[in-house]
Amino acid sequence: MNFSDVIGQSFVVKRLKQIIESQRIGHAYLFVGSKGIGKKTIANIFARGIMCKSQGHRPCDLCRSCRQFNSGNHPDVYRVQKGDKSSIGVEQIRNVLEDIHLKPYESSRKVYIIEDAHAMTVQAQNAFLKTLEEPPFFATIILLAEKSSELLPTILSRCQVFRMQRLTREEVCTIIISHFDMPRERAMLFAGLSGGIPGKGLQLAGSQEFNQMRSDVFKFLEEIFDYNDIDKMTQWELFNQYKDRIDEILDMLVIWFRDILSYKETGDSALVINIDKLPVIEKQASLFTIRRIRSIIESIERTRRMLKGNANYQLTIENLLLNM
Amino acid sequence: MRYTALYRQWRPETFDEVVGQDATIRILKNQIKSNRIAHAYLFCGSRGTGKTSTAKVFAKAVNCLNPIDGNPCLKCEVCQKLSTGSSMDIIEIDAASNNGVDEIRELRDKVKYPPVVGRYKVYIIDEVHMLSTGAFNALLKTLEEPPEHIIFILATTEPHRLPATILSRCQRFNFKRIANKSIVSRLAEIAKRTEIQVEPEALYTIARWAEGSMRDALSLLDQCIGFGGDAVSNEDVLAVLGTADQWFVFAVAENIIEGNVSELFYQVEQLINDGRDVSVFLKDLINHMRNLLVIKVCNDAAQLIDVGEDTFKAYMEQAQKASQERLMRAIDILCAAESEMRWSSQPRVSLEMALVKICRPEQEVTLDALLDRVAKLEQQLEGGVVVKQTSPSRKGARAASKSQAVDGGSTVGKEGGDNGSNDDGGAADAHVWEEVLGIIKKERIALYGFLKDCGFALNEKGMAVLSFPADQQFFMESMDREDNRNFVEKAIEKVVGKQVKVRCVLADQKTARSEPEGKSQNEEIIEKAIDIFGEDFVEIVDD
Repeated sequence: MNFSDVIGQSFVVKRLKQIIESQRIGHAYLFVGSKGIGKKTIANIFARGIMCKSQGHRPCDLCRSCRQFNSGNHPDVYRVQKGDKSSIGVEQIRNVLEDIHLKPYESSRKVYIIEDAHAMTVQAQNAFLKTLEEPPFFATIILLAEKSSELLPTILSRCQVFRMQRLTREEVCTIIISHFDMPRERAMLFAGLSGGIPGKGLQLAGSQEFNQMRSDVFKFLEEIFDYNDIDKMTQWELFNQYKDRIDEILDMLVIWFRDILSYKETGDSALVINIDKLPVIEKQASLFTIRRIRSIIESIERTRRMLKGNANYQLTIENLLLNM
Repeated sequence: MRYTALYRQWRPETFDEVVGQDATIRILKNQIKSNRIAHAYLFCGSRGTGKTSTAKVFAKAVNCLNPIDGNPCLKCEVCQKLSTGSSMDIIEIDAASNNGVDEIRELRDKVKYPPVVGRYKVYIIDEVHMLSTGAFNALLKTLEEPPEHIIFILATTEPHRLPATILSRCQRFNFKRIANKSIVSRLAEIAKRTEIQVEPEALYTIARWAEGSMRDALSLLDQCIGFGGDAVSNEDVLAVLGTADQWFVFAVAENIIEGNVSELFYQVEQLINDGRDVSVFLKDLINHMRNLLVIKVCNDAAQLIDVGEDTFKAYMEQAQKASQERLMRAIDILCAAESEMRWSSQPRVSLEMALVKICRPEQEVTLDALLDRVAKLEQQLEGGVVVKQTSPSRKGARAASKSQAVDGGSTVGKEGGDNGSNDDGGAADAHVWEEVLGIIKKERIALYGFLKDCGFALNEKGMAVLSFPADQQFFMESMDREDNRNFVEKAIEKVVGKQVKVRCVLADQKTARSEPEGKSQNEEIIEKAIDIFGEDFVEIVDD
């Protein structure tokens, strides 16, 4: 994959290409963007580009350096991953600090790619500070982070920050169609649900299980007016069944109510994301009040926070159900 | 020439190049001039304010053979040697990665060796807040009384994490955030010396975003040069920052002020389609609102807002239209949305919700309105418990709960309003009956057994109606015995404080209160009689 194959992110790609062409290669870059947005893909192309030996277009994908990189065997590329652990500890960063003073083996540069940089512990980030500010001249450090708020301000101020943009619906749709054989309309639906994150769009489009889950959840939402409190409580089963994927379910709920709200306010179906459910949304828009929708969305977000804080799953979900 | 980042290339070499820390620099320079150099310094302040740079300059200055007005000359033998970085006299320690007690012990062993070229050996301990407690304590004695040729400079962004014993041994200097003006002039100077054209407006934008940090500013300028080449325009800066065009922000603010919700939805859609970062946009919007508020509140707002003239005029115009309350509310809500966005995986929805919230203040739940609604609901609930036994009311309650389910509670408030007036008495009755039952239960538990399922209503004419469920005729009959009735009447009298008559009915007979048109014949006659003769002359005797 090369820069020309990247769909979307045109601005970031343009800047990175300029950096490679002008050879103004800095020592620390930070790519920020949601999971699945393409940080790693772009970081790999960029890293290959700054180490490429070709005189013309870089990365060339032909020279020894590029081929080594593509096969995952480049001796001057050092990757830090959190692996199975929940965070990147200070030990892993110390290993980088030791390694970074060794001259590159065969390339003119050494590249360090810290994946999941947001998962660095505070100690790890602090240990990194001095080196991140003034590494040896041949080293380039690329940090990939999902959220910049997880990083110390002192880390941020030492890096050139590239914010990955969410893709437009069209762009995600194109990516989905290039991977899966499906009609455009359907691809557009997934594109809408992906929220502009191609990785998520692909995951949605490729997963049978997701479609099953989606229709289960929507069945619940469509019938929500026929339920009394006890019926609602029995829906807990549904949430229990998909316990591992509760984040996605909450996303679905939020988007559902957001659709109703936007339809209620604008009366325009073009703004609706779950376009295949338009009739139901239309109907519910006439039944819900704005205040009610707002309070539901707020309680969904509250549920998300509570679950992240390890609140009791069943109680939290039941509470949400009763609030709906 | 090898490329290095601007903030490394333009690290200050002399005190005069350090920006925005005049007081600190003056003290340090005077100390050097008068040769009153302390042995331990602590530099603290937020990122990019010049702590490490000042420490480096100071280390050179104390060793320089012929300092010029306190600055290192950069020409003498010692300065030259120190500049190459190969000197053993300036030792920079990264406390964050050497934070153990062992590293500090090693340091303590080495301090006794004299410097190689200069007069002083300077230890710069950066990120010192990361030292472990053991390490701090190991350092204490050395920090208090080091050999004569030693100077310690500790630098940190988080001085509150240092033990008090460390703080009290150092001369502490606080580095302030650098004023936007100083950042702009320094950027302009650097741009001039690197022969790069930068628009003045662009410099202001950079300075604003840097929030008082020189390193952030230079880093941003660096990225802009990488993007825009030798001429950097304000648009380039905005593009690199990923912020929307400022006129777009103006348009959104316009709609917020006018409460134009549907337009806002389209604008958010546009924002998303352009691939803009929602959280960055939100930050812009908050700043915009803040500027409007400043204009509203201050007479001389121009000084507090760093924008060009045209933009300022546009701000003035927009501020005219907005009310102060709306702006303050908007800022509140947007700030709340900003912090919520950190959790949410749907930043777009958070933004949309916030915008709707701002534009629909009538939907807002003020504390008073909320209390009012809660009170009504409670009444409704209690009324519901009492009339539960009487079939018409039960039907009503069910209808209410059904309608609640059907339109998602949207009409609860209204229903509460309608029923509220009717049910006022119902709620009061419920309280009375509860107390009465309490008394009966204490004294005659058997009677309580008869009565516990029955409904109770008291009308203003002193008539208490006990309605028994249809299948409890036996209980009703037992209750109707003289002694029982007297007892209950007394109990009720105790509670309400006036004499009452008790009448028992089965639930399928209509009760007096809940359905006026279904009053029993008797009661109608009684009422008529009272109307005609007056209450005092009518005595009701049940047979």
